[in-house]
Amino acid sequence: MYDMLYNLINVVFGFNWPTWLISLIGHAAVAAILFAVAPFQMLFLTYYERRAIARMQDRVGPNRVGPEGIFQPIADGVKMFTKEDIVPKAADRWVHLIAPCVVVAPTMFMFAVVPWGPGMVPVDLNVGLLFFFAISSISAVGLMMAGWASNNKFALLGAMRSVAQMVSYEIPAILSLLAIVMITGTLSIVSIIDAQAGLFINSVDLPGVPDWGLGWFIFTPVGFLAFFCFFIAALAEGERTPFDIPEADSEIVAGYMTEYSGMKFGLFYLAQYVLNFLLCGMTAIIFFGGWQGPGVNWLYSQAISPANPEGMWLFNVLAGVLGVFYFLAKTYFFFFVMIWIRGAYPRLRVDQLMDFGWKFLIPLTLVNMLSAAIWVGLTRWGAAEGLAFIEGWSAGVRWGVAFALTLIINLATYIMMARIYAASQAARSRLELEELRDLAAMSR
Amino acid sequence: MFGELVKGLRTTLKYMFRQPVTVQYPEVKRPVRERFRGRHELKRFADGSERCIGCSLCAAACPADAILVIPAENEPDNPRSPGERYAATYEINMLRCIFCGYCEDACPTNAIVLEHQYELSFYDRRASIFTKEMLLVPEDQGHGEPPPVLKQIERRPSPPAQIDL
Amino acid sequence: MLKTEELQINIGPQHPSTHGVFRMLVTVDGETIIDLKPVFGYLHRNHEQIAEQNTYLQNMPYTDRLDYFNSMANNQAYAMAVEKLVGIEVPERAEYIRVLMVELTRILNHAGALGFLINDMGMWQTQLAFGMREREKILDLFESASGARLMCNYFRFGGVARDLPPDFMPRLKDLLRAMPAFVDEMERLLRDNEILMQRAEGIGILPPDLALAYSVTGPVLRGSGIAYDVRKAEPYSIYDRFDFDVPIGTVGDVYDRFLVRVEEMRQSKRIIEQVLEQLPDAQGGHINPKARQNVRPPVGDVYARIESPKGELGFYLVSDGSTKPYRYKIRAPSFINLTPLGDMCRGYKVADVVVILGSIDIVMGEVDR
Repeated sequence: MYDMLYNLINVVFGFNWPTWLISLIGHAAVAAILFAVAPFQMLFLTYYERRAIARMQDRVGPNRVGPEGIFQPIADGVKMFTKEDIVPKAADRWVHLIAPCVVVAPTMFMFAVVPWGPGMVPVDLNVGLLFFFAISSISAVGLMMAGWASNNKFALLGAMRSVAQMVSYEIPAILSLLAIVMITGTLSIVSIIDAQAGLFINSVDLPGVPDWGLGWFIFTPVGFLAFFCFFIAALAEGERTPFDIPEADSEIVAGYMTEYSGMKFGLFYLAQYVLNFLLCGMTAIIFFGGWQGPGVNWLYSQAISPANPEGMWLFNVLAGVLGVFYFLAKTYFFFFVMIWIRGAYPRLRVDQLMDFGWKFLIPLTLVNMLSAAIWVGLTRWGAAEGLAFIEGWSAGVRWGVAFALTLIINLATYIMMARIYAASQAARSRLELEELRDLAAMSR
Repeated sequence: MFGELVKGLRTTLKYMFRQPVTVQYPEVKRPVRERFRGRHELKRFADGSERCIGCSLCAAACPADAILVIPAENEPDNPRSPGERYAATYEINMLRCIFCGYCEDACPTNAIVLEHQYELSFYDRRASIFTKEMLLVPEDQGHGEPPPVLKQIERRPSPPAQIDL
Repeated sequence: MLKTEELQINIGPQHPSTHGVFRMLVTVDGETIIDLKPVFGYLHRNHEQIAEQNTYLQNMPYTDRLDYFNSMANNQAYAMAVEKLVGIEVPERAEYIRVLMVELTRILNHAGALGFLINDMGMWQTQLAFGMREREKILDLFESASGARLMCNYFRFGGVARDLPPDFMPRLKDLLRAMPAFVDEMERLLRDNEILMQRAEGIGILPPDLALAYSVTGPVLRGSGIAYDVRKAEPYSIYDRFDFDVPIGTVGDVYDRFLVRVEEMRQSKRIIEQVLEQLPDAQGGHINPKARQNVRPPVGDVYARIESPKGELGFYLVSDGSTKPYRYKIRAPSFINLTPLGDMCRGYKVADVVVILGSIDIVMGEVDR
């Protein structure tokens, strides 16, 4: 972005503005675009979700406002804006007011490190991944504020549930990503995407693989298990079924949003959908190569970039369009999976949710990190690190051995964990039954 | 553990590619069945005279007390119905009506019939009272036998409810 | 366990999953339920008092509105009570039509109830939509026979209002042909779904002795393992002619109640198939031609009961010899099945309350009357 602006202003028009001004203009432009894009995403996703889930339920879904109901979210938005804003008498006015802002702001910040296409990243932080998840956990504060300030028992229960859930599922989410970070050796989201060039085997592990932009981490055992854990954790982070416990409408009305109306309610909704979009996007980026796909890298190599200042601007546009297309296609696919799960499963109970997170996902991700270490050792290390015996192996053999070994470890762990978990659940419910019988006997 | 969960997903996906079963209501109207009990109509004989003779049996049969009939004597030279009297006022309160169909069972002349119209919404409660002008079918839509015959219409062979007054 | 301050929550009367206006006064410790008190009466419509102002026939459409899911079953119980009181014979054909309608009602009730139960578990309406789709087919049959989908008002003293329309049988056969697939799908949905199993198994256990002590009936009682069904225990109408099983559960949890309902749908289908076989040979018309509708029963009282989809539905009528009942009392299964809710919920989590409530399958119109 900066290079393009610099070229445009100082080279094409010859203004010779100072560099700080150009980068300020660049950042302001990016921020403006993102703030326009985020609500638009939310509008589209609500429509997309309602239509998709309606079809799963043998219905049509919203199809009245505009052609095929495409303007339905806009009508909903207008409704939200014009509704009366009600603050309960017993509520803590100021905290009640600030809470939606505290929830929305972090989700907007998170856009700062998300790459949309080749060279299209607002800020390429070297700790991008850390930034992303650090910021995302701030919204838990907002949820707690909302639940507490509403002075409503349902809201309080919902807020407590959501905070507990966010805190416990942040751990498997980050641990599963840590496996990928170990393999790539970087926390920068852009570098993680760059490491996924190749064709089923990424070109870092096996130099010389044709670059179709398909060297995604999902094709490795480590990446697959990490994806599996991360996506489940993302469902919980984004409060989606089967983990939509904080706003379980059939139990605690609307959770922390119970006492909100009008645009404040709309802001919570906005934050939630934007967060879901970002989590789907992050899944696509980390495990499915983000904007990587056939053709993007070739197009980008012809374009104007820091590495290639003499490129053609047309290729910038083409690479950008194709990259954004791949990225959004993957993201919307994962959002579709979220909708699909919502259509098929009921929600878990709060204790089952905690059990699942702490007793199943976290051990699984820890083992996956071990696999990631083995992977790194077998594919990258040599005599210098004390692994002299693999010195003579070719890259292909190394990759094959690493693949087989991690596959065996991960599969065995998964099967074992699933068995142990199922057995422990059964044992626990038996134990609880006995306790309940005693309790019932006592009460009678 | 997760293998079983995939089956549930498959079911929902299967429905995704089916035609929805819902009907797009205001444009497409599901036809009602022959016996459907909807909005009332006051029928006429073939010669255009009113079937209703103002006997108030329908009002007596009504469980919800929704019908008001005020009879009046027919003028001998210009009778409005074949009997001695006709209904000067005939009102049905659609907010009270429960569409049970007892009025049509009770009617000795088959004057009141629950027809197939079911779109009965109105904006204020006053509009819920359907007057005789609204209920009576237009004159050219008289049907059935010539006036003096007082027997059941074949179309609705339900047993008449005899009400003790 | 960590002891914290107890919190009292009012779930309802305005709450998305209380199936109407019903209030549960819940005392929770964190998420665990310490006590639950059901509070009824928000939908009280003075039904029994109104009935004492109306003639016997005029009460028939009012019974539709008790349990608005199963108007046919309510009609049957009331018609049976009055017939017993007056001494009206019902022709054979009319009995078959009655059984047919009530068994169809049972299927549609269970399809809806299971859909609502899964909806309460948080499966966003999917199964409910499927259940409603099947229900719609049966309601369409009701409309063609009686003239209304929900408030059928189809039964009369001594039979039913009209004979079945000519296109009824072919459409019923189509429905029966398509039904097993739907019932299997519903059962598969629970058995194959790990999350549903986790939410249903071992939840809301009602031990048999407790169930009997609360005089619970219907699928809730049978889920607790007691094979009590009025159709078998005291065969009314012509139920002694049919061959069907009474499914029972083992533990008495939500899962058992679910399975009992699924199996009852299959048994109802069996009964309907037998009705279809025997109906052509049945004697008499759709109504006893000698039966007067404006009954004036002799002085006395009567209690008639049927196995409604929700349990034992009974009507107790006292006649003083006039055209109006002197006393009109309903034994509503929903109401009585709801009373052990506190004992069923104690010790479980807040999230389980709505599931347990859904598994009892109540209709507030019947609970509060």
